[in-house]
Amino acid sequence: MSAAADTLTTSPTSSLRIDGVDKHFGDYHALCDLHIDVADGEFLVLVGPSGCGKSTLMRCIAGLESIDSGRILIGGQDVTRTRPSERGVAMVFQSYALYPHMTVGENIGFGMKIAKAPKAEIRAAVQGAAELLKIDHLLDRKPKALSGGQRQRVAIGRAIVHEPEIFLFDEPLSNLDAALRVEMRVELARLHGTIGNTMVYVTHDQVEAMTMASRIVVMNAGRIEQIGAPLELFNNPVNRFVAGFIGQPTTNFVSASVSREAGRVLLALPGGKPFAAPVPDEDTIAETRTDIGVRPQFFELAEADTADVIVTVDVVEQLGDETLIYTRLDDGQSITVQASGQHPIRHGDKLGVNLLKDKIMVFDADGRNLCHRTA
Amino acid sequence: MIRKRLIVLFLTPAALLYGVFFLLPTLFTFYFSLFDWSGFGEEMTFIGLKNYERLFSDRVFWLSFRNTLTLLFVGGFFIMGLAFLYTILINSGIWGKKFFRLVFFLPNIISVVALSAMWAYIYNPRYGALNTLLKSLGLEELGSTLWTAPENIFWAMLAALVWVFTGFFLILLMAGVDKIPPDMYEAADLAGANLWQKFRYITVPMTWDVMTISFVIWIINAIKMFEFPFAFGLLQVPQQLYTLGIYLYVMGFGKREPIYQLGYATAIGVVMLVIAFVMIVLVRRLMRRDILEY
Amino acid sequence: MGDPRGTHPHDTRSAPEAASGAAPAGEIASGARSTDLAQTPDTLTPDTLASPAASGNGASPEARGARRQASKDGPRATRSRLPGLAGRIVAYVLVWGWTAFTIASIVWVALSSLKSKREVLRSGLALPAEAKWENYSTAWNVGKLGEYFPNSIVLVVISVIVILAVSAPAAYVLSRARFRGRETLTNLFVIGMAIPIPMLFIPIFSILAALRLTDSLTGVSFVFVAISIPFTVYLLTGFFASLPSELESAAVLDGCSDYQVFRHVMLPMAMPGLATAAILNFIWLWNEYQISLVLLNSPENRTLPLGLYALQNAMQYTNNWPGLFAGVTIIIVPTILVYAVLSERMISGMTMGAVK
Repeated sequence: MSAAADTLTTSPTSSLRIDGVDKHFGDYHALCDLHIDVADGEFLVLVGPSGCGKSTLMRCIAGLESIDSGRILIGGQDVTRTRPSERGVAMVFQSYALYPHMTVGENIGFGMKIAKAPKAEIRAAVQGAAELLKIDHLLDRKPKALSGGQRQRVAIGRAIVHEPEIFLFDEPLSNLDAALRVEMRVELARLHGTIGNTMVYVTHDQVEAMTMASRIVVMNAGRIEQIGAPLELFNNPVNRFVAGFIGQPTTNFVSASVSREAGRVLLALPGGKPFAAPVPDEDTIAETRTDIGVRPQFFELAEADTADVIVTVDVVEQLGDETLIYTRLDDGQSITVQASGQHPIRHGDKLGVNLLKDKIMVFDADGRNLCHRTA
Repeated sequence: MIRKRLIVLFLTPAALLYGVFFLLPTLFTFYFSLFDWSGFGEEMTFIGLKNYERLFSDRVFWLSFRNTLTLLFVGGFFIMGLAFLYTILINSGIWGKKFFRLVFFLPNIISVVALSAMWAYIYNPRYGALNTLLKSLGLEELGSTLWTAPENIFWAMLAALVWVFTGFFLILLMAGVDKIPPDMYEAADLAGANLWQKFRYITVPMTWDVMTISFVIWIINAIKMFEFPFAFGLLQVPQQLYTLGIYLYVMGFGKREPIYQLGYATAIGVVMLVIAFVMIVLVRRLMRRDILEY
Repeated sequence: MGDPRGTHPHDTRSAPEAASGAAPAGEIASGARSTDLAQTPDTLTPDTLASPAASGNGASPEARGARRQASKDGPRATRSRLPGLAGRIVAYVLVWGWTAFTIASIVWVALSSLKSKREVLRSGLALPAEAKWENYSTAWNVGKLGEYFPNSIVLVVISVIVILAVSAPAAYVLSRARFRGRETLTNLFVIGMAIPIPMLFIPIFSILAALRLTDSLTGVSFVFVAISIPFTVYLLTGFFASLPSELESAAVLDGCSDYQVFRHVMLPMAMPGLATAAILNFIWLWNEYQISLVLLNSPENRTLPLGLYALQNAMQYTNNWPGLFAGVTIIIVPTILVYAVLSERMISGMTMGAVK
């Protein structure tokens, strides 16, 4: 049973279904018994660190890799044994994979040519896709004469012409520079709005995941850590990994001391005031020490005498609309604080901060978030 | 995952041609060398390692062997040295680098027979270009040398050989030197390094791999050297020009009397292969070193 | 004439010592010159070399050349720098010396082919008095090069085509497919490059004899193909391996079968490699004569190199140098043409495997 609870009920018309998929590369266990259900029209993002298996999973969906056990269903059909070109998927690759010796028009129409479609049909389809993506003036050019953004559009055009059930995107924005990336992100979201197909998107960038996804699948070492809407993952991570992966700047993880007084369990940061542990079941907390997680956004600057804890400032980054303060606790543990607005703080200052208690996460020894609220 | 019977189909023609006309002969060489065989269509008599014993006491064999080694080491020394020298000169920022590279390589694309005709003329004692030039410089005695006389012909040939192969290895070395990031030389300049130091501490280590490959290629070429000296020697190649390759040919196809010695000739071939193998392994071991990443 | 040692590029190792005043007495001459050199800017970057200051005035050809070079290759393209004008002159002299010799010998051979026999013997280094084109027709007809030329053309062109047709698929599979023994098989193909051909003369002859293909161009063609496979496969596996595998995936998703992936996507992209292999093989086989020597007997089967060889031997008796040179020119003209047009591609293809 996977650790992640699927937050949507299994729909009989689910667009894509990963059912118990398992894959090994020799001794290496790449994908471990995965279950995902994708509704029609969703924008699903697979996110995780390098090597977590997201690209492998995508290649399995496409049929470029075989799976050892389990099933893959697209549009209700079992495609586990079907050839890639017959699964109803189309893929946009990280480096776009445009055929360099063919023109844009030939690139887009290549699949239809292999399928021996009549020339008129091919021309019409290519024209339609090109117009949609505003590249119809480029049809006679070769890929090397195009900019990065244009190439990506050609790659998308090639995918559209297949008229697939599902679009697969394999880190399509990684090769673009920062400014172009933001622009293309918006474009892709717009595209999704226009054509409405299910899209499965792989990225290692959690910002892309957060901004584009209807649901995010966080993967780690071949397993699914959590599936859910972006805000759900942000507010209610199921474990330490998800808490640390989602959100920028990263969640602070600190070791806090545990004390039990008068039937209540209290936690305290080094040199700070004790506070009640915001967990549903207090018995789950460890005996003397436990790890807690606090997002940098969930601190408040306070006066030294009323603050929950005093920290020493290391580095301050003034960004204009917000200030990033890198600080240290009394025992040397570091805490990043994100405060909105501008603050005249400098290296070496002693700063008082309050924690927003309802936003604290408490983790057990296995990394599970004890404050996680199941729906 | 996406391969199947295509593999076999794609590999078979090449494998077949290569196997039958290349690998099989190689195996046969070892086999034939154990026989006394006086000609195609004649009987082959098994004599074990007798051919090799004969080689051991064969004066001509040792002469060929010595010639081949001289070619390998003396020739190699000059070729590599000149190639390196000219790589540095051409790369030192003078104009026309590509042009020079082209011209240096030119002899390598010209037929060996054509080249030997050319050099035969240059070396001609009476009206050849070399002696004419020397005489016009007043060096009468030197200008009357019989360059193609038996005692000189090997070195005459070697000079021409060096001229041809320097160009070849120049190309390789230049390609290797081109890959060295200019930043390194600039950093060395800032540290005050002179030309020799830059050569020794940057150029040489960074081209180590290319040098190794060059050495291996030269070894192979030197040991199988046949065409050039053979063409040089015209109708009757004098023994002074014999290399292992030529001696093999002579023993197998050249001499009509007393009889062809095909088994003996292939034994020479085996010796060639063994020497090549040993030298290559030696060189690769000597030059072994971790791969430089940069 | 002065001491050339002091201006030799390699002697600049004495420059720092001279600069620090530690020059030994015997080295005064070179030391003095080296001190001059030491006064040029310490960091000899391309800018200082290209600037007018370094070479006295901007009008000198070296400076102009350096600037042109610097702007052509970019400001950081020059490598090891020679100290100042003197070193550059030496470099030019040495390099031009070699180059001039090479060009001169070839040009002179071509020119000599137009002389009469006596002219060649008398005034070896002068221009021909009148162009005796009949030398060429002699070589072509009497020397039979006219018969050998089509032999060579047909033999080499067909062999090269077969080599490519056979090696490209093999190289493709060896570089991109996954199967057991792939590594070993590739090595087996490539090790052929190390085997000395003379060693194989006799076994090849006997195999061809068994197939009744001795003294035939067909037989020679088989052998040509076989001996070219190692290098061609080596070259092409390098090329195929460098093609991005995402393109394969894209083609598969577009519905291509394995063969279609090869034909429509991979092969077109490997065209540069195929072209290089074609050119290199053409030139080597055109000039090949040791295998031809062993395998071909009858004159009507001779290739050009063999024909030239026969001509050269005949020349011993007739002293017909011009005729011989005409033959030489005939044989080298195709290769020089191919080379002039495609040399860049050849050279880069050759070095591709050697230099990573």
